[in-house]
Amino acid sequence: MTTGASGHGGHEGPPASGMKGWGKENFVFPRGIACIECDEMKCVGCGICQMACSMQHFGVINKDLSRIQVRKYGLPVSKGIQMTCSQCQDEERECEKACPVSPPAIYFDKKTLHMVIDKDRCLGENCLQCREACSAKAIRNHPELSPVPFVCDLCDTQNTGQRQPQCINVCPTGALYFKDFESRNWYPIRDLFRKSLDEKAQLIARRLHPLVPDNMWQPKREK
Amino acid sequence: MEEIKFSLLDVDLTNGTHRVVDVTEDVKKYLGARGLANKLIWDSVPVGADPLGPQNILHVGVGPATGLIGTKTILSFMSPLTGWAGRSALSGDVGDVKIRAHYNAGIVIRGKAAKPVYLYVYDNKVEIRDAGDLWGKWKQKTEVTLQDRLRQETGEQFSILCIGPAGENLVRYANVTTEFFHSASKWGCGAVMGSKNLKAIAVRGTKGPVYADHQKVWELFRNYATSPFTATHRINFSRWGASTSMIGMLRYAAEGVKNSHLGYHEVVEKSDPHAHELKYHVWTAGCPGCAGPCKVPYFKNTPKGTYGGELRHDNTGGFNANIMCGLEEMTDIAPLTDELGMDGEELGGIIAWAMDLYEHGIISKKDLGGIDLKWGDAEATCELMKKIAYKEGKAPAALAEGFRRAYSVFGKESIPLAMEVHGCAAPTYDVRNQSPQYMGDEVGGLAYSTSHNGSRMGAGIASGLLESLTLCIFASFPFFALYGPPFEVARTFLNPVCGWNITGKDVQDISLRNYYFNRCVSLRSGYYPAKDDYLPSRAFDEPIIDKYGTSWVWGREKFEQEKKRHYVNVLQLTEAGLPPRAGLERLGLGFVIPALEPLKAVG
Repeated sequence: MTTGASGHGGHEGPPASGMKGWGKENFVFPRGIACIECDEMKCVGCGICQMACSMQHFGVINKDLSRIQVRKYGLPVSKGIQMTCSQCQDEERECEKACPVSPPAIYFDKKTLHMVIDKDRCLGENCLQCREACSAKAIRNHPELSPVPFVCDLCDTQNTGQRQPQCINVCPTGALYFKDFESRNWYPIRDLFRKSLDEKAQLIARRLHPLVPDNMWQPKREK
Repeated sequence: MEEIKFSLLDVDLTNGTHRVVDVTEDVKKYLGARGLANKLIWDSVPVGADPLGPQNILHVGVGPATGLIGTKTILSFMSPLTGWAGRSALSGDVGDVKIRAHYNAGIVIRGKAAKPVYLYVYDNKVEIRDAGDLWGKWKQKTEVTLQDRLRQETGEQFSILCIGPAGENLVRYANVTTEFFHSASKWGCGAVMGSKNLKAIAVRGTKGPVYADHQKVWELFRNYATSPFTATHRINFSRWGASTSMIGMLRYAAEGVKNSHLGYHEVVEKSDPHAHELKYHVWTAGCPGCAGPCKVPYFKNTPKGTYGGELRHDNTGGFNANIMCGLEEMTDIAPLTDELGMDGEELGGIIAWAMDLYEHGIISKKDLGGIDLKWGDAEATCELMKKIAYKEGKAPAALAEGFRRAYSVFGKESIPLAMEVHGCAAPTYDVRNQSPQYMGDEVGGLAYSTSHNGSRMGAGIASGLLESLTLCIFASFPFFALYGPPFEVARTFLNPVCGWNITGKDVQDISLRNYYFNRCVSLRSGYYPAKDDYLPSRAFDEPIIDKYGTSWVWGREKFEQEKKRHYVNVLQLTEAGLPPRAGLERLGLGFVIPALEPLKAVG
């Protein structure tokens, strides 16, 4: 590793503990039902998660081939917003219900604990009813580069139960994390996070609506 | 490993045609963005062509590393402010989407449309569309309207570059903006777009970038994104953006105070970035592929209305204290500079000068259309900015033309009050300050006075590489720590991205080649170091004293000495500031010599 030598005021010394990554790779991943969740206010819209996603699944860097989606909204203060599949609980899983194939070609694999699209049985570009049914539009397609749509499989590409979400490890701001739903025996309400990019943007935009100063408590009013 | 191809989208507004040109050979020699643009300008803009005429070109450039080491778009053109080579950089998604549309050598725009148009680029689909209803709209309205329209039509989100009223009215320092407040501001690219009747450029690409070796690129990039260097870098940049430098520079007399008459004044303390953050910071946003994002927008809610934008050194440094304001007033002023579409840095110098002229009675309230232009008056500043953008009234119309053209309107007593180098405002990095950090390649009196672009950073040899790669200097600090100095970072990425096998020495040659070539473009258009490379008389006659008592001023002899040293040691030129013949020939630029020899512009 070359350090310093930039003459541009870079960080000159080696990392304090000599560690290779910045620590997040050591976080413990949950064993039970889990999904990728995003703290929207931390997301900066860099799209590095998308690069990791397309590399893992297609072996190329292409944000349009990524299951996780990031878009920059001008609200009018620009804000990066992220969205991916929330691995909904059975009762709320609209994509699976909408699939015209029987049994559905898109389904939640109860052994490996993530969504799967069966490439052999999926009707592909002519159908896309799963995508229509999903209120978040978390299922993605790219007609030129992929014959069937794709959805977040928590990076278990071979469906063997080895979930290793790459986006979480590379997210530089810590906005993405692997949310554990089972360890605390909560009701697994995952569809709460099933909001489309536009829906999230509309909600965040509410933060920028004018307030009347008289309705705000503060120690000293500015006149 | 197969070498990748570089495609340039060549659009002619006069005929309404476009074609895709393979420029791979040129990119090998010059890289993209500014490097490639030098070649395009040299080959296609005739000597003496009016920068605001149809013969000028606008290259909206990207380079091989765009989206990997920050995301920059570099606009190159002949400047309407100086008449020399101009270039201007902006951040935001637009660079990344051009790469994803496979225009990895950018877009070049020629000619002039008969009526207002915007350029629509959606992968292979390129159209020149009517923008009659967008013309005259302020920037935010333009971007929102176009964004909505294209979203309804295609379902996709486009990245939009647009100009405001200042660009339409050919204000010579009008800028081009994306994402509301990220601007390519220097040297009048907005006026160039306006002169072509081009209101906006909307781009969307879905094909993904072309890399020779995706796996290797990803390994290098992942190493960066998850490195402790990056994490350390991000802690500072993601919180403060580029706002913290100002107060320090103001206290140490490196930034203009009261039209650069003072080294320090208590008004400086009103530029408190911490107070600004606590009051108005909303969140951090970043460019594609940047793990140390530095966009720190604010949103301010007042009974008068709401204001959103970002205070950076570029639109605030040299503006705030130079007109005797603090950051609070700048949160009102900055959104208006974005809306009207003018260079905040140039305005900082121009408006401070106007206030000075008003105080000295050289311009009157009547000249200003009834504005009482007192020091520190934010409302008067906003009124004046609107008049400048629309060229309303005698004084604002003159100010819209820049310093040198305004001298003839205001008379010669206005000249000693101006703080300009090469006709461009120099309110930031005060030219008198000679601290070591302002004596280098990029900023300060020596860099400004020896720049062939105008008085601004980004004119040194390093820029020949950074702005042709393209590489964002803010994003790249962790890359330097991980992969070495800039040319090593470039080599490390260029080989897997392009499928080349080049050495660090080759990259250094490209850097110097692009620097020389850019200087030659300016030399051919009338720039001449012996005639142009000087500082205003105030740099020698009017000392400034910083908050802690250090006094700064140039001695005339010392300046001449230092300038020669700067030419030779820093810029690798001759003592006269000219590119050496042997150097040009060695770097494959021998073809410029016949054009420059009659001008005695070869060393």
